[in-house]
Amino acid sequence: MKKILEIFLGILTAMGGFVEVGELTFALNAGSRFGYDLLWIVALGTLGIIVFCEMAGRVAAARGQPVFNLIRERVGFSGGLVTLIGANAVCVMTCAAEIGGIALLWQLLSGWPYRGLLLLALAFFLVVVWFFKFNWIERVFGLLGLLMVVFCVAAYAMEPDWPELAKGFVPGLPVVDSSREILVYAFFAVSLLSSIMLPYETYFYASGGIEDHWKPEDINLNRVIVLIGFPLGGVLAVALIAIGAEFLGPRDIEAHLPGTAALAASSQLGKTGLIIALLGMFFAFAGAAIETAMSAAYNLSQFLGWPWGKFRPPQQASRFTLSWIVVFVLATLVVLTGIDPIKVVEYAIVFSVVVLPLTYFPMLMVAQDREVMGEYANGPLASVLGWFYFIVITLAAIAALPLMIATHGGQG
Amino acid sequence: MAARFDRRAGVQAAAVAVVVVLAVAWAVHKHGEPMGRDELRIQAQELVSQAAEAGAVLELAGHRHVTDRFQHEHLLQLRDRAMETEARLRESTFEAQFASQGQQLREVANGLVSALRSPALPAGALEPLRAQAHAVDEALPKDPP
Repeated sequence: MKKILEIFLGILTAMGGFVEVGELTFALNAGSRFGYDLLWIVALGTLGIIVFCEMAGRVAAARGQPVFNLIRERVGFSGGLVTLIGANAVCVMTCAAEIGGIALLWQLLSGWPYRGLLLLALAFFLVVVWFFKFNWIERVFGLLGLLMVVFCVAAYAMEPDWPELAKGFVPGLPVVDSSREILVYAFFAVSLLSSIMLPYETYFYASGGIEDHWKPEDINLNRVIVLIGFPLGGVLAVALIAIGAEFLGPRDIEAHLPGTAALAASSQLGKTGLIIALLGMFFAFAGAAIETAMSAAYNLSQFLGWPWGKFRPPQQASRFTLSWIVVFVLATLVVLTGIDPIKVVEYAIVFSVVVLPLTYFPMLMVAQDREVMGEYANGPLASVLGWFYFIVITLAAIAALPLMIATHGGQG
Repeated sequence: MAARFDRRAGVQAAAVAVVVVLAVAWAVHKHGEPMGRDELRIQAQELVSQAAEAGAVLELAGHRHVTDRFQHEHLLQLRDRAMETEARLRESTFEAQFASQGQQLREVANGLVSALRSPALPAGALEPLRAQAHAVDEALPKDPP
């Protein structure tokens, strides 16, 4: 019974923690701009994050090794240093965007000044992460993030064009009125893929497996969580694209504020939908802020060989504890400058796809190494998918920055 | 710790620093350039989106689908964004062939900021501004299909 409850909670937590401010923005705007044409990217990205997290969780359970420990082991200190700096810079940027998004949400509910709310959010996160145990953090924010299901209900109530929606899962180019739009479409494809396959999710997932003391017998639990939880999260991303296509696009609206998404929910479900959407986004963004701050601390500690983990008292993992505190403070300082948090997350998502192959490759190498993993090494399917996604994310990483420059960050 | 920084790490750090410096230099260079067709189109689409979204807020408020607090605060957030667009247009110069479109967009941006400052904005009041920004966007030349 306890095992079933653990699986159930794991699935719901994986689903509830699937969407953050960047994915929300890119999915809504992809729908607004290109209708259902980019749904196949959601399917591609969801399968990609399943492959990556399943490998990371399996290695964590079988070897007790998280991502940056492997990077240090496989490519050495010098080789891994740039990856560490890049990965942690992206974590700080993403955390900044989530904190900014939360302050904007709280402003919609309270009317208090934005900068004051940023400081309040910082205090909130420091208190929560200091006092809450790891599995409470994971479950509270993951489960309450399920309030985001309101967007699935709203999308269904909008009576989407189901045949068009189904056609969106077939890869293809959209019908556009200028060649520049093709570049914008490619930019959105790369960014949406990156927003679904954000690398911090894997750092946090693998480290979380070790925090939860996973052993080889938990490998099936790992598989069930990623195979059911992430596709359910993918359904949420599909709903956001449908809302973009049905509500925002016809009105010429592009989402640049979290309140835009809430507006779409309220159009179908009234004030109740509005409040649920605002709360759902709060828990989803807060979960992502905590995951990014802790991921940066995990990465640094694992790479440098410091004691780490929420399961240790702060005095036994003092450098790890100081690291996540510093990340929260740095992230808050970034948004206190007045920079638009949505712009920050757009850049973070583009840069994260550049970092992605550097963290994916060592994980793939270890996961398929029979000498290291023994009976838990990649089978034929995991190997084929592993290499397929390595090619996909490498191509996306090469294309990301040129596309961002050529399309002015996807604006045209 | 210092002993672990070898030549390879130094080269990597230098490469990252060079990329960052080049990116900043490129951004500074672009910032000072007059706005051309692509930049104007981006400003036009932002104004269209801001006016349309504010219109949707007012429409939903009319149906009592949003709370008064949400309506007020979301319109303030949209006004802040419109002010950023207005400031960008005010501080920029335009390429000679797009000067009139740039001037039209400045007027739309001014109108939008003024409208969003109004305490009792009627539903539908923003539609002419949205249409005007949309018309400028449509008038700008496009790349061939």
